[in-house]
Amino acid sequence: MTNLLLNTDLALDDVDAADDRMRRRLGLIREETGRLSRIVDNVLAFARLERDPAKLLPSLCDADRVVEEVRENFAPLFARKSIHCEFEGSFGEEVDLDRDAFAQILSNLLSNVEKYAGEQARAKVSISSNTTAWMIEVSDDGPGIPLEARERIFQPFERVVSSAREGVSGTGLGLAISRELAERMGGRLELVDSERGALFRLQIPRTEKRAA
Amino acid sequence: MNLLLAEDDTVTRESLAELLDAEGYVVHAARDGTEAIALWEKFHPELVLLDIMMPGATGYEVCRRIRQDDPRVPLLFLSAKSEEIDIVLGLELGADDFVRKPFGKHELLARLRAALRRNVPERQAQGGRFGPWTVQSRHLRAIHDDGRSIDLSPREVKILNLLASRIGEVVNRDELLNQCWGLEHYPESRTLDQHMLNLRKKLEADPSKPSLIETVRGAGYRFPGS
Repeated sequence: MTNLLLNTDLALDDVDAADDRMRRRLGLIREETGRLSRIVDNVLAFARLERDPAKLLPSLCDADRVVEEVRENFAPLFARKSIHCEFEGSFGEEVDLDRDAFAQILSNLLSNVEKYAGEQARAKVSISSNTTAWMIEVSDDGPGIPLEARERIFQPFERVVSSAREGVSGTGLGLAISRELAERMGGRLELVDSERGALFRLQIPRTEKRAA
Repeated sequence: MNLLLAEDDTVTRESLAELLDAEGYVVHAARDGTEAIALWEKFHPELVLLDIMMPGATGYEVCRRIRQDDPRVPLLFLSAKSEEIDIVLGLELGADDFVRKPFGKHELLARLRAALRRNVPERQAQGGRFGPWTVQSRHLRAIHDDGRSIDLSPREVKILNLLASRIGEVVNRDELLNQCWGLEHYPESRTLDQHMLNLRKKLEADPSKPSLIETVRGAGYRFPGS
């Protein structure tokens, strides 16, 4: 997968700036490779979580940089669907967490926005904290999740399909894995009430910083 | 800027080398851990990128060897998510960061710049002036007098430093190509123009009316000074 991404980036560098059609095609290959990569990550994570009850590997990391990287990955996907995604708040300090697990959860939540919120949706990622936990909320103004499906969406291979969502690809693993990862981080992931659209809240406990 | 790359997957190694070379890094590429240690001892590069699972010596062993010589050189591990790697061990050995596969160009370059900025002291990064910009060569960025900061590639740093060293003079195209790319990697002529276009977008207040990087038709480019 790295070779696909790197060589698509190299091809994008090489293609004539005026060749819009080729740039668009390469851009699509880039986006779809990213999507495929997330699916592979989820399937691998699912297999690993089933097999291995081991805890995650937290270490002090720059969580704002993780958010920025995920944001950059999704920027072209959102741009293509004219989804406006606003980011509010920050960690502002190094956080003791499993970096990959956090990136995977956030990617899965933004992937849901991209797939289900609809074109021209407005979305928001907000980061805040209290004395005991970090709170990361991802919301959108799309059609939301039907009441009867609110817990079912966290089950593996469950997808809430409606006519508005036909043509959307996915494995139905993203939210199940994200919840499991959140719980293994000592936190939780839930869908909470909102006036409009979907609002997911991830809570991660704040821990004492380790000695450097 | 010299960079040691150790990666046993041939396609990944060659793709990374091509990508980093295009950015202006001088890449010393090793196909296993033993070769990586030999290249480290020969060149003492300013940046290190190590795959973890390699024949010969693992990335951890190469890291341990490098840290005996140099505790500060920015060192990043490349690792697959499917590998059962030990992040804590890697960090204890002195790695600065882990770049998880799969990754793309922009993520990798951002991680390299971040590692440089953490490890190279501010005083060593101080560079020359380019109009209202201060070019910090070893931090790969330029900082405007108003506080804005932009990222630069090693190649862009070379171009700016060459133009700034010859204030008011025309630097011809061949000289720019020779000094900033070198004879081994002589690019197409339009590559130079593309780089100048990108630099103007980054540095000029109005890229359509450049005042920092002037084109001298039929000759080359000139930095007129502030």
